[in-house]
Amino acid sequence: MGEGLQQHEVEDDALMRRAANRDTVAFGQIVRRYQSPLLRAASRFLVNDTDMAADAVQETFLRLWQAAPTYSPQGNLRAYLYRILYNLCRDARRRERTTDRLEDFPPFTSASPTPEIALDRRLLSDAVRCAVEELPEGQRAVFLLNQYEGLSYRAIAAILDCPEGTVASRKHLALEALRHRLQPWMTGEDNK
Amino acid sequence: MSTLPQDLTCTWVRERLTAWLDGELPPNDEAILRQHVQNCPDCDHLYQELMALAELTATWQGQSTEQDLWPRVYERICQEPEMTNPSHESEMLTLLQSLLGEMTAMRGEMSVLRREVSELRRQLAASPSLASPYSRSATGQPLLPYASSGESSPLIS
Repeated sequence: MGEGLQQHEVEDDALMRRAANRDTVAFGQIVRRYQSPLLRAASRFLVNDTDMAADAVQETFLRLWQAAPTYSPQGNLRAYLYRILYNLCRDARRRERTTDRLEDFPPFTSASPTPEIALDRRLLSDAVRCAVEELPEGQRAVFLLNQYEGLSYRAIAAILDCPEGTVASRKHLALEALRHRLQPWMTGEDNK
Repeated sequence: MSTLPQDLTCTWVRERLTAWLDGELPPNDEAILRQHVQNCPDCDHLYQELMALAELTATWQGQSTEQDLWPRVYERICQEPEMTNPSHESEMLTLLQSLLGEMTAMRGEMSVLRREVSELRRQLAASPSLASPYSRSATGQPLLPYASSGESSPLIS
């Protein structure tokens, strides 16, 4: 153990070994280390529902605590946490499908001022959110984990339990779909 | 990740543009793509679009997430069965009961000893001719508390 691991990964492993012995102080350090990125990720997985996101992250930490005695430290705690979180959020989404669709937002039309001037960041942000929301689940997961969480293809493959090549092709397909969906925002052309 | 193509095509390049932007291509492939994009307007256009898309999608910030979950997580893990383990609690209770029993027995022995010492002092005061107050006049053996010798004190009825 230790070779090739970064400092924070070595620290994670040490904290997890203490948590396995029911050391709540060590576990508290893990929670405070990862809560912000996980909350941010959960808010995207769950389409900005902050209450559900907080619940999902809490549940993620609770499951980590339960699994700590059998957790095998190998410097992949971050991916391990994202994997739990992603599965929880996916299940939550299945229970409560959101109904927002890209069409619900005002389309960018050629009658609008030039994109540079008219670009309302909130509208654009909503448009991006809805476009991502409409991706097939596998592509959406890869896109969110890679684009916003900065996880490598290898880490995402571990989280989603699929080959790296699948991650690469899903990311490619996701960008293709988003490119078409968000084309009006990129060029200022009419939506249709 | 990939093997180099026999005949480089735009399709081959376009399939790898995303991985290139993500920094996931082997250096050899990266060099090939860079060279191709510099010489192919269509692929260059797509490359520029993908870069613009990356900027566009970065506008989705997500919700503000500054909150401390630890107090709530701590509360929940304290409710976990292992933290309030009934068998653990019953073990502690048994241990406490055992300690209390020991303490009660010791208290009884102390009471007996106290009375024996008082009686010895009384006898000593009444018979100043005894050679040593700390040895039995008959055997010369050191005085032992009756509680530890297993005998009952003849002085206490």
